[in-house]
Amino acid sequence: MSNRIGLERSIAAWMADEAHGADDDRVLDQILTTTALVRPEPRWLVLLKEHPMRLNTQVAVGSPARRLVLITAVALIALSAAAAVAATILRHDPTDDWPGVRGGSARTSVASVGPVGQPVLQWRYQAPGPTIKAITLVGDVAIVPSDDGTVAGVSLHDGTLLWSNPPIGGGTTGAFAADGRAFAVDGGGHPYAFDPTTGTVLWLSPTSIGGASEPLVLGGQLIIGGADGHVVALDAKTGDEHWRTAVSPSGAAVHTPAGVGDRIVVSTDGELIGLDAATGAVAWRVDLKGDVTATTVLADGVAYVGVTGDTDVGHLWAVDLSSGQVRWTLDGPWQAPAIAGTTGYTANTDGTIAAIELATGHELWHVRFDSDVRPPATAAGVVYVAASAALRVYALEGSTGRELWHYDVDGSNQCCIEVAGGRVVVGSVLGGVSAIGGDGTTASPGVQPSIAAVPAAAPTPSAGGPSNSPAASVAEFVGQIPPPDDDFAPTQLAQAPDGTLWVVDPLSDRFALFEPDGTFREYWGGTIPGAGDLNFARSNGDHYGGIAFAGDGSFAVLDCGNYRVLQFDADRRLIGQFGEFGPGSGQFSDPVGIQLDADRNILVLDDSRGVIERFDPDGNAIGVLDPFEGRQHGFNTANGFTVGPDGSIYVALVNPNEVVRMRPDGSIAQRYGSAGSGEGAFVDGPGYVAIDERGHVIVTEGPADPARSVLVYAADGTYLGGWGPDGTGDGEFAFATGVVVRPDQGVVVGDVGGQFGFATRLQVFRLTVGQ
Amino acid sequence: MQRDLVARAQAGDHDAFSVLARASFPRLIGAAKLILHDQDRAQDAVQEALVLAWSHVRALRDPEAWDAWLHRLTVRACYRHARTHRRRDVVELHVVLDKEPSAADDSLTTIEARDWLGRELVRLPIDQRVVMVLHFYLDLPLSEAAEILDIPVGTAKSRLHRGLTTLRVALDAPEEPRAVVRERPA
Repeated sequence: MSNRIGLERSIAAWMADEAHGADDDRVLDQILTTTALVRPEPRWLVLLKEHPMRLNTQVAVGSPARRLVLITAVALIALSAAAAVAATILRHDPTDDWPGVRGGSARTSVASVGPVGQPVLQWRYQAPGPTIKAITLVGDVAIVPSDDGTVAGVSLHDGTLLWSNPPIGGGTTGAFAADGRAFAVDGGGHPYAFDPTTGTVLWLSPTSIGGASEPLVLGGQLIIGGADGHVVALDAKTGDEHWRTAVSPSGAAVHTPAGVGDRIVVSTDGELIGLDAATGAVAWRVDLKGDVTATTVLADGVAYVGVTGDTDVGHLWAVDLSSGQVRWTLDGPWQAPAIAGTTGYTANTDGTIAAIELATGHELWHVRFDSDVRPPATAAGVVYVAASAALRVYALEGSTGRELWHYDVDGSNQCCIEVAGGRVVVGSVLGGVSAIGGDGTTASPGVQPSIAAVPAAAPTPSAGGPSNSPAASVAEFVGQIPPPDDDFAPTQLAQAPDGTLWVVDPLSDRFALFEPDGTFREYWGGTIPGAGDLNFARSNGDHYGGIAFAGDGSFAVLDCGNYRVLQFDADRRLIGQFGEFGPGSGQFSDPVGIQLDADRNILVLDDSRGVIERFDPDGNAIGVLDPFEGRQHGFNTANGFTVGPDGSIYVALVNPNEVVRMRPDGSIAQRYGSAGSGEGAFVDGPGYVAIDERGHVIVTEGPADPARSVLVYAADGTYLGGWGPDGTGDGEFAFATGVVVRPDQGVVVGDVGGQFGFATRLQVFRLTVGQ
Repeated sequence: MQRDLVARAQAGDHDAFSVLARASFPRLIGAAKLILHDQDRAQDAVQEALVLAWSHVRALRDPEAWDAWLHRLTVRACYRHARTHRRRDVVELHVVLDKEPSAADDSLTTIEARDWLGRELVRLPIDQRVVMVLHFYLDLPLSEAAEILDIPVGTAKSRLHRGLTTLRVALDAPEEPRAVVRERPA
């Protein structure tokens, strides 16, 4: 240990010394001279260009929708005003406003009436910059915020510009309209109030709220979330600060608040918080298990919160507004729904729109678009959807999801869709704002806009309580097998027929052997007479290696760095070897695992090619199996595999994150787990696999989920639970690696942690599931 | 204060960006030198990174992420420069080692020992070297290093472990010339 600490200190000291150098100031001057000659690129452009970077689970750089770079190939579509179109001029109902993002303070995304009949373009306004914030519809005015910070008032009747306020600080939130006024936060983080009909600023607060959310007005207060974890309430008439609550001790950004009555609800990434509207006091908190969240929606005593549009994992949560008790969750990256009575309309980041029963979360119907979709809006039994990449707005029949009509717009919508006064208003990244009305005829439902291919996920009833409980543990800690020395780093584990536990110790190109009672016996490997040195390093430097036993005690070793298999008899005498580097059948490009089947055929998992090479006992290639079914393969896409008692082959796949059970003929019989962060899902990807006598599938996953490192599934794919949180104590793991079932002894799991200050060891557990 | 400077830079204030660049430059150039082991290429990489940082400064959603973002831009620039010069690196790796320093001198305080450490660090695959620079030179926790590199934390831990183990094995190895080190692609 002292050598290790000394080495690390020496490294740090050496680096500190080596990092300095002369003549660097001249370089810096050159850089600053160069950059002074150019201006930063527009925000909307660089958000698309810059690869997203997350920090503390939040997107800190780049765009959630960067993949929509397709908009560079978009053609502008415009209808001629002289075309044979009969537009119905609707009388504006002052009560039918769209005050802010997702409608009113409850964010339910519902209007009283939308376009009637077939779609007709009423007007289009060209903003000076991308319109990626919510557009507020109040009275006869559409308040249009541009990404450059300009806020414009546009006639809701004909799209003419009524007024325009220049940018302040280079950005702006959307606006919220209430009590004859409108409110927003400028690019400097200062909230302000203005007259929506003239744009005249009524007051400007000296308070600065960095990374301000969209504003909310409730009960005479202007409420805004900040990027520093605070919620701030200002007097809507004067701008004076009423209260400020630190809802996130860690300083996580607060997303757009929703409010109804005396309750305000906000979310951060990983938590939902209910506040008293008058005082800002925290009433309850709900642990959202790290979900990257967005705007909350409130309806009939329930708060709904889902994920943002740039995440592939998460849940839709339904939480009691009064108590904070979780009523149900829907697994998957669903966004908070638009509300129509007892039905909610929600969007998934995979392009699905679904209608769900709000009481239970059960799906009523869904449609899948060949495009990502924004959170929908609803009015009078119709669901309006902006399909971003498709550059299209859809109207769907609310009861069935069948398409009523669609309308093509100029560019991709990156925010939301607004409905008021019989028209749909939608902005785009190209700055175009389109107001789509109806021609007064009847729109008949046709087919759903695309093939629905996504199965509905059953919601999970809550077990009660403000915070969900983790899945029940399915194993109990029995004991540890201490490491033979400090260099021991166990990966794959294998049980020999005589009860000896063989552990691949790839950093040292050897095996560690343990007696049935866990006593260390010896190391074996390194240099093999007749075969030279073992090399358990892959081409990228990762260490694998492998071993598999036949019933008579003979075994095969995967010497991955040498792209070969070595065969030994029960007395460890070398009896054969085969294999060579190459991309073809019978060759190895990146072998990472080895197993034997009941016929003593040798199976080798070749990661980069994504196949299992099969060889007869003489080393002749006899075919390949494809656990990916041709979907995908590549470097680091398959980790480990094992052969079950019935000859089934279990393979741990990465991207997709799952374990597949293959029949001996290569067909897939069952899948276990999935990608994500929910119960039974793999965050990074499954590692090693073992099967017990009852067919339980036991899978390790490295330090991806701090709550568990080992997952157990029933033979039919049902997730039973997991164990092994991060840590150094009994039953905890730094980095869970290999796993093997030792009959009558338990499940042995490797834990590699010595170099991180944790113990490296083998831990023994007894499965309790089904006891 | 940095938050304000970033906000001003995003508004087009080049003076604010200059202050940020001057504050960041020493550690960026230091990290680049340690990764690339070549002063000229390190300067090119950092220049590339800072010019891009100015050009794309409005892509920063969270001003607090400024440092982490600069680190990412610099590391990526280093990778690009490392790839274009791999042929030269392979040649340089085919060198028979001098005798390693005595294993008893575990603090590596002698000049000979530090020279040896430098040569060994350069031999590491770039993936391992980058993680070690982020962790030991920039003093970043592995979780942040993983986010900068856009890799899982487990992978970052694994690369660090491999690098340390390689060095430790070399430190403890008997005094004999080592075989040629196989180049591993970045």
